[in-house]
Amino acid sequence: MLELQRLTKRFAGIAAVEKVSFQALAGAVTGYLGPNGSGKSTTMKMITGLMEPTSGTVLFQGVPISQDLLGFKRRLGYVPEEPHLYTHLTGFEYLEMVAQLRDLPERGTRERIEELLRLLSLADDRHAPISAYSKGMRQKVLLAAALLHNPDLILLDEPFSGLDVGTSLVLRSLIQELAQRGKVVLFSSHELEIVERVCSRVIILHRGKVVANDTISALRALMAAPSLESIFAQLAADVDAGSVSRAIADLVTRQ
Amino acid sequence: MTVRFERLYRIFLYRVVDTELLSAGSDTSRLLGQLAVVPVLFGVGFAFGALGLDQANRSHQDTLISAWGLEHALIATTMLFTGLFTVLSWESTFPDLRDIMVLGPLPIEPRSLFFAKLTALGAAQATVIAALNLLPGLAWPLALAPPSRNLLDLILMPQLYRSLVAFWVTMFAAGGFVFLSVLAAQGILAQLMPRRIFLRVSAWLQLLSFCLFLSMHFLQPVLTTVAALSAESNQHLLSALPVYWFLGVFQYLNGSVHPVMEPLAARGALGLVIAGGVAVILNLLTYRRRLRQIVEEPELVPGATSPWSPMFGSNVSNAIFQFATRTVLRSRQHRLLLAFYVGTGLSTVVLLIQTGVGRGMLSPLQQARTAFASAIIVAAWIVGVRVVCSLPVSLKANWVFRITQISPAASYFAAARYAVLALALMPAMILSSAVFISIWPWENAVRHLLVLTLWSVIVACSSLRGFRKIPFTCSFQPGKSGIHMRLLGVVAAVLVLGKATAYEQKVLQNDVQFMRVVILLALLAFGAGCLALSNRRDGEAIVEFEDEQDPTLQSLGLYRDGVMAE
Repeated sequence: MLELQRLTKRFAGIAAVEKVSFQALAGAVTGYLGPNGSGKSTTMKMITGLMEPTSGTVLFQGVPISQDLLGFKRRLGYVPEEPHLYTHLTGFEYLEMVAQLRDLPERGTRERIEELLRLLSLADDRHAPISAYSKGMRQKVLLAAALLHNPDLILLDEPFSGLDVGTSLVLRSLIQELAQRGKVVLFSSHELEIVERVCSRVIILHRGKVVANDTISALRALMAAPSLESIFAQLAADVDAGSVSRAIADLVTRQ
Repeated sequence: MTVRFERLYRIFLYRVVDTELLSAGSDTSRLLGQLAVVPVLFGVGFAFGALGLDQANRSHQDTLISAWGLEHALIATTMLFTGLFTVLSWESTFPDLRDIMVLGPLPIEPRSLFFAKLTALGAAQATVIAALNLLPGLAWPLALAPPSRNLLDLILMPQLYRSLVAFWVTMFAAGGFVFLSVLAAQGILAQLMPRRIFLRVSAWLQLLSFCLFLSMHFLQPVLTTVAALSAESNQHLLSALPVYWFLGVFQYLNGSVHPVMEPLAARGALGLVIAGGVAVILNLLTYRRRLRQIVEEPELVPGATSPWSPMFGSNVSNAIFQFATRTVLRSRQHRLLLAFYVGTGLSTVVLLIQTGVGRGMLSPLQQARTAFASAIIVAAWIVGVRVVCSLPVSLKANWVFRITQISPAASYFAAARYAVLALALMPAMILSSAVFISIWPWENAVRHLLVLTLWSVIVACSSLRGFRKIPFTCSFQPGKSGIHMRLLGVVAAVLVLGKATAYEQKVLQNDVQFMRVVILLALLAFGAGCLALSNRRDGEAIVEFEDEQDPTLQSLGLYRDGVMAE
């Protein structure tokens, strides 16, 4: 189980994430939602250890990750929001490097990489430099790198970004499949439709604070809302979409 | 200048320097300041050279002729700096995919893009030329003005202003010629080759141009007397060396023209016009086609697996070594910087051997000179590798090293140091072995290679003390390297090395003395290796990804969350 206890991050005194507490259970997919700038990616970076929290604790299997950060990283798979990769390496070389850095046994790892690339439809381009890859292909490399070592905790920050329909469908099933096999999956996305289908529980963040933390069905009942989208609009949307879109259209069509 | 052109020009000007390599806390102006110091320092030397011209015991015409040597050196240095800078900014000539994706959808004519690029590159070049000639540009006109009774006379003298104009026009014309010639060469190649081949070839052409500019500068003969300039046997050489054309231009504009300078001045003017014309016309023709190709041509081409994947100890060591090797081989920016160090080493050798310093310092034996050259070039390569490894390849991609860091930091330090050592030593020793075994008797070659290996280990290990970065992953903090102080150290080392290689050649045939030298070097290498590879402070250190400047004022750390504690 992944547990966040009153996790806070401040930048120059301004809270990006404030006293965020929740649990993500093994065997379930937990959705982490919020509008742009609500603090989702900051939370993800604190969970991975890339960013140090100002206060609060992240626990994995009941142990603060700071106690054994290296041990925690062994069990972590992470797909970041932006596909930053070493683009002078080929897809295969990148995954090989990640496998080596994760100290995976040499035997079998190359085959595992080849197989992952084949399943993600990257086999033909595995020896082309990543600089030539499309956004979706880069996303696939990130996904393969996150899953290569069979992690116990999988953090996915906008994993559907740039993926084609076919791969999106595969990823959607994969997330559920991995959760069923006992992994802790924390999944952040703006695709509310996918979140609604995939996640058993959602946490909604607004201006750095948790404003909802429950199962989707419980939230629907509580807020008398027909869908996750309307729940999200009530809790986290700062603007009325209709009036803003009218104002924009008025502005651009004004002579 | 229209607002749109000015915006484009500014965008391209700031793209000449890759600011993404810098540390978060550093600023571009600091880097530019540090880069500008080098030409300004060179300029100080030339300014003093001009002020030291003796006018007392000779006519004004003789003084002007005696200044030819220094003028030649200054013009050659201006052309060298411009050439090196143009080669460094080689990729900025054409817009890249990012430019096209941002600017392509906007209603901008390709020729506007081209002229904005040209202006931005030209402005950057002009800054380099101005930095180098800042002080000589004031000192030279004063030194070349006819003798005057007092300061007022000097200030009112029209010749002073003519010299001032002649000086600056010549320097900008000489620099402009080099800049436009490189652009013209790029234009010709772009016309002749498909884009993909052009990109592949241009990486090697950049290296070639680098070596060409350095060797042209250091190897060209100095023909700055009336006799040498008038000699029939030198006319072919003079007509082929652009530095002399612009020496002629300066004499012509300054009004101090000697008959031997006239054809050279005409050649300079013609060369500038031709280079400019070819550069503008060919690049303009290429631009529209090139912009379309950047978008249309498929970027993704099927690749092949590399035939050999070097293995190097533990998994972490393998990953870091392979990453470092692949980066050096594939990153043009890093390869170019390495070429600069090797080129500088090569030029230093040529210069020292050509000048009296070298002749006095070295034994007359050809073998000693070769040994000296190998020691310098190998050292330049090693220092180059060490410096290049400190420059990041893509800072934003570093997260993968942080996320996957599952071993203690000390194992990363060891892996990184071994990787840099291997990168520095392996190619140097393989090449040296090939050269010496083919040109020297095998016994001498083996003995010298043993000494050279120990020397290389000493240099490499000394350069790795306190190295706590994964190569190519840490941000770059301008000013932290203390390059100016290290330069002095290098000069001292080169002078000692001259004596040492001469001694080595003396003891090469004497078994006992040679063994003594080897034992001494082995002890030094062992000491340097111990210091570099088993740093006691590694235990508490962390892998560095941000090259932070040491604070001028030590903070007491009383801040929390960006707010001063009460």
